[in-house]
Amino acid sequence: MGLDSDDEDHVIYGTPIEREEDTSARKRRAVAEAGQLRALPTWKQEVRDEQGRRRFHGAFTGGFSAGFYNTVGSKEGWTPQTFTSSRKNRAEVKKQSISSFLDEEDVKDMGGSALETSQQYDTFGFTAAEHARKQASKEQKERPSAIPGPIPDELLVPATNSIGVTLLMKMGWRQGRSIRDSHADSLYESRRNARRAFLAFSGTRNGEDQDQSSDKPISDQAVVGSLKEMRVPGSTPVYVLHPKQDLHGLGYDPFKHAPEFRDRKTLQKSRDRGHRTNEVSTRGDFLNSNSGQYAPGFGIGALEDLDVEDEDIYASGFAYEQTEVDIEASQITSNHNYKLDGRKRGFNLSFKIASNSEYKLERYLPPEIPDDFDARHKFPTPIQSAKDFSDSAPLEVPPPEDNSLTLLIDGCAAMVARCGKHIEDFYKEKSKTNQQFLFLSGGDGCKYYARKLWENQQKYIGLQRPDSAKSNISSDKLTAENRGKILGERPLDRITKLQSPSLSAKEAVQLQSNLVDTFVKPISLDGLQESEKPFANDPAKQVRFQQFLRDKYKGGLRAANIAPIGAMSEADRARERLDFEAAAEAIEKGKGGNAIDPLSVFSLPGMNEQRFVAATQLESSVLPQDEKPIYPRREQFEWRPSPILCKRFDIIDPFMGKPMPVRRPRSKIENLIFMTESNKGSLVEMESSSRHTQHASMEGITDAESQGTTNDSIIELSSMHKPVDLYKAIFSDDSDDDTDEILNDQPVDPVKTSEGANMALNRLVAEDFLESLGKELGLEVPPERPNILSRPETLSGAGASVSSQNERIATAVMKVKENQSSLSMVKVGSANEDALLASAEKLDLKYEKQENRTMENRSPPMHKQSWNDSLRYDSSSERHMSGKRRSHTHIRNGIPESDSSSEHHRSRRRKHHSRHRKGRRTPDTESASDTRHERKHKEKRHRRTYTPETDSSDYERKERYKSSSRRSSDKDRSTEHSRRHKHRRKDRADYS
Amino acid sequence: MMTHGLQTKDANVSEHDLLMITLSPWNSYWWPRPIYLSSSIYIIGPHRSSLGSVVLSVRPSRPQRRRRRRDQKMSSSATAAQQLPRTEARALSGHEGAVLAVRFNRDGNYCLSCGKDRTLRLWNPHTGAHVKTYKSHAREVRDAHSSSDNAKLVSCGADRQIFYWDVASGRVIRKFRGHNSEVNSVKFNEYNAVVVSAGYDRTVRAFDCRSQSSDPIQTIDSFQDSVMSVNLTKTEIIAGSVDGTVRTFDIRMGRETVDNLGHPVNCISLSNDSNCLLANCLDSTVRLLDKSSGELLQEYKGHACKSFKMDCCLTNDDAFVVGGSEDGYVFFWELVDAPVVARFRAHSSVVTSISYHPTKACMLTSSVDGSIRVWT
Repeated sequence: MGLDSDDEDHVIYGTPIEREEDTSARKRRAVAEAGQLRALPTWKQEVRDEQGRRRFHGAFTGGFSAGFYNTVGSKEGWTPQTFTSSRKNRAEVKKQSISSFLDEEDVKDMGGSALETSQQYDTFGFTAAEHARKQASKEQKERPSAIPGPIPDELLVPATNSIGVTLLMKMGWRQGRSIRDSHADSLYESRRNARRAFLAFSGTRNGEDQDQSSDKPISDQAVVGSLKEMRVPGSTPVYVLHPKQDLHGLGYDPFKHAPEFRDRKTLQKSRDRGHRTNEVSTRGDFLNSNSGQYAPGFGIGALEDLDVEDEDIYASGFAYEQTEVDIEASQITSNHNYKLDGRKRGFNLSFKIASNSEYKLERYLPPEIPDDFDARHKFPTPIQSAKDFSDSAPLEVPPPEDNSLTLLIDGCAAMVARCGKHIEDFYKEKSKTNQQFLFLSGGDGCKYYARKLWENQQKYIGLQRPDSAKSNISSDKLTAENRGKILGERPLDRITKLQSPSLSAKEAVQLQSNLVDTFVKPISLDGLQESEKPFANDPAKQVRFQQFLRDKYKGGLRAANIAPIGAMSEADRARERLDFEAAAEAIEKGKGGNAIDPLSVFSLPGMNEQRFVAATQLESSVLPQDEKPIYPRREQFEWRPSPILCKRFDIIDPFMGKPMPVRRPRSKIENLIFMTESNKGSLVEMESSSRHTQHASMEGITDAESQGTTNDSIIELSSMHKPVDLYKAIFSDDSDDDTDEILNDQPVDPVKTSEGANMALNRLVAEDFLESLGKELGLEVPPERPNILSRPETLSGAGASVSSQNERIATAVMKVKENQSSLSMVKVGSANEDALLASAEKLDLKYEKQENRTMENRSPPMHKQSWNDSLRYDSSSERHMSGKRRSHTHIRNGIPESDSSSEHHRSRRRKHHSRHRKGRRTPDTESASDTRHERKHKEKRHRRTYTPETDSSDYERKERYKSSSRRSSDKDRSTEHSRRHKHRRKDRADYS
Repeated sequence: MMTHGLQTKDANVSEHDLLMITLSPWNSYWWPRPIYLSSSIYIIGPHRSSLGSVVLSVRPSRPQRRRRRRDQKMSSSATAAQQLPRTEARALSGHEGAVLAVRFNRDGNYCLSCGKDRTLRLWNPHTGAHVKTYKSHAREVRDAHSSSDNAKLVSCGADRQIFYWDVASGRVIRKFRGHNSEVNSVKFNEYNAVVVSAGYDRTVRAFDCRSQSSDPIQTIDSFQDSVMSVNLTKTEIIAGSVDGTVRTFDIRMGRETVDNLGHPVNCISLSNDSNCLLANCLDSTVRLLDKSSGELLQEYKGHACKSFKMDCCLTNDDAFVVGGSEDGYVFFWELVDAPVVARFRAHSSVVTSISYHPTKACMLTSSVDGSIRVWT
């Protein structure tokens, strides 16, 4: 058969890979469906486990059904069990087995076979050998043989081979043979050997040369025939070549007794070679760096990297390098190494070194030094520094009568000034006899020469290095008062020193020009008279304006960036800057018309301060650097040891009973999501108190409580108002303090103002953020500080109802205002919302008879409130819940959880709801309208859960909450509610 | 003149005639002058045997007293200086590589050493016996301390671990985690209930030995730089940092006291009366601070300490300051006047650690060269 014959031709190596036919069909289906599923809309997608089974069935089709249907997932379910303390009977040390890490499916997959280590990948056969050895020893123990003692290792053969060995075996390799292409190489090799042998054989028989050619093929055939019998060569032993590279005697090992130096030596050698041949042996370098820097004696683990920590930082002190024994004489290394190396190279590259080289090092005798040579270098006479003659200016002398002499002197002076003193000496020497040059050596016109020379030098130096000369003069000579004098300043009172006589008029002029260079446009600034101060009514602003002018015209040396003025917003600053620009321009114009006389400027009082303001500032900035801090310096701070630490140290906790400091929120975002504690608290307070008063007014008991009602409406107002306060509440950490401050009308201290500045900045940032957020959600963003009373209702949605509500609120507010005036309990200096909020809080507190506004104190009455609520209103169970929830968030204060924010969201809404109720609770309300509204609001609430928030006053907040709590669903909340209720009560008990 | 109950045997009058002392057989009476006539102000006695005579010794004036005390001290310090441990009793060899710390135990009978070979070793320095080796650290061990009951050890190292050992079995009872990088120093507290460690991660952490938790019960992170050394009193945690501060955390008061020395602090050690702090700074100066006031009492110079963590300590009688040097010398300074009383070459290289016997004139030094030497 054809097929069979085909099969015979094929040789199959190795084991065929099994096809994965038997993997469960279900699994494959699951994989296939996964793609489809993902394409489906969310509500149609199904959750399946990796086996493709459906494990979640939804609430109406059976619920969670992993294993035990509709139970807690265990066989026992909710069956009560007796509690066993793990403290008394500690868990015994369990022997863990593999099965304790496998679940049922894994076990099923294993198909009953036990897990064990595989020897398939035992590459070198070590494990197998070990195993075999153990087995053998065990066997021997069991039945002792004639030969006592353990079996020698050679007799033991590993039971299995590694996969590599198995592969090789399959390919025809046998133990003890070399791994190479036996067919090609060995055949060729043996044939060659045979031929050689034959030739040698024929060579001995000289006479039979003729037969050679005829014999050859035959012999070749014979060789081929004999190949069959020929043994394939065994694996060749590997000889490690150690070329002898040193000059020791054969067999002498200098490191015999000090093997630790051997590595070093080889390393050094390899390094040397690397340097010489310009080939960097990476291995050597690597090892070298290791051994040099890392601690001797131990390595690091296989899983660890070499680290900075492993560096032997003490190595420098160790001086290993110095202790190294220099085995070869340095002479040899220096001279003979070249040859050695060369020989080595010659050997390697099959070049031979020349026996006699043409190249010779050319040498020269040292130059002969003349006897009179002075080994000191003579510098040409240096050009005299400006200093030398600046202070010894010769007197101006009339030129000599002789015109030619004058010319000569002039020329000579110019020459000397340009070339230096040695020219003069030269001239002097050359023309000792010459009458004309007598002026050099003190003859006629000597003084004139001196003067001329000085002038020329001055000129020349001025030309050559004007900067350095100037700086020299100004830095060396100039004291502050000198400068003042030069500039014609009126000396300060304390300065009594007279102008130093050394300052010549020339210098004065020079200085003036210098100063003009450094101080640009001083006049524009100095001209600032009292009449020209545009912001005279606002001294702070005036100061800033002057600062601005100084910056603008750079009149005076000053640091470029002065710390920005504190409590100003970015926008304010910009506006002010514009103002300043305009004012400065106006001043400039005025000056142009006036053409101020510089002298009058000089005489201006207070000019000094203005001009040299920078100097004092610089000084002040330099000063702290100069004075060295005195050590040791002691500071003390409060530090809070943890209670357990105190307990362990057997010390009474100094902070016992005091609340743990509130952890500062880590980021702004966190702050944004979870409102500040105080803010939360105030909100809760408001609501709880409002509810309380509702309750009270319904019962209609006392005056105080009716006051409370009015206060409530204030609270409404305050809680209803302005995003700005919200931002403040969110972004300022100490909003409590702030409100206090406003309450007390205390003077604002500087620290607070800087905080205020920060706050303002934060507010700006927050506005931006919220605005962008609002835009993202496609909502209209209201202007910065919306006023409830005046703002028109623009938003759609529940527009009509909202507007009506707002009208009502407005009336409430009006009423409140009346009440305020009558009660005189609230400071309403302005329509400041802060004040309102603060006062609201204050009243609130009063009402609740609480001095302390800490969380703990706050939560219990709230709780009471919510209880009252639940008793009172059957329809307001929702609200009851919201109150409770809020209190719950308080108890877990500051724990960042998503649902707490969602609760806020919810509570917010509920509060809003209640606020509307409050609005209704004005005297002219009727019960009928009450119910109507109730219904309306319920509707609205329902709508709200799905449609974007439409209430104008509150909606940014809501948006925020929504965005932060989008994850949590309403359904969850309602189911959770009952449980939470119970828990909360317990929590409270714990807390108090 | 008032009389004693019994006969007056002797009398003496003080220098300025303000006091008179009289002797009765068993009591000495101090009389102020105006009341030579009235009553004695002090009655000293009764003495066991009857007294014979009384001599008033004049109390020296203040500077006199100071001088005398100093003279006394000088003479005593001179004699004490001769008793300083300067002869090498034995060397404890076994560590491979640098020994980073050596510490006597509470009673001074044993010592602990640890080093770059990742081991912690327990020795008897008085016999030279190597008792036990504790291996578990993955990198160098930087500090060790033994509990006061000698039952537990604690060690820390560059592997960021703090190991709590059982001495007898040599097993690690607990590993305290929490440090984010190398741990430089570790100490037990008085009751062996807390382990306080200082680390390169700029924190000092306290761990509870009594609970099962391996997390710190307190983390102090007010340091600006690596904390090199930590020391504990009964109520305080004192730590020195590379930021140049010595911070004292008073648990009883709930206060943190920062003493800024201006130079990186390498090692903190306490005087035996716990009133003074010794800080080894990296500007080759050992500084003595008054713990309560933060006043700098004295500076000790002469040694080299510029780049290595080296210990310094006070002798057991608080008379001398002992410090190592980077050139292998050990320095002794007189506590009050800070002259170098003695110096000798203890090791060939950096002296990493010094521990002074709590009662005897015995000292341990360890060095980078891998040796620990016992000096008596």
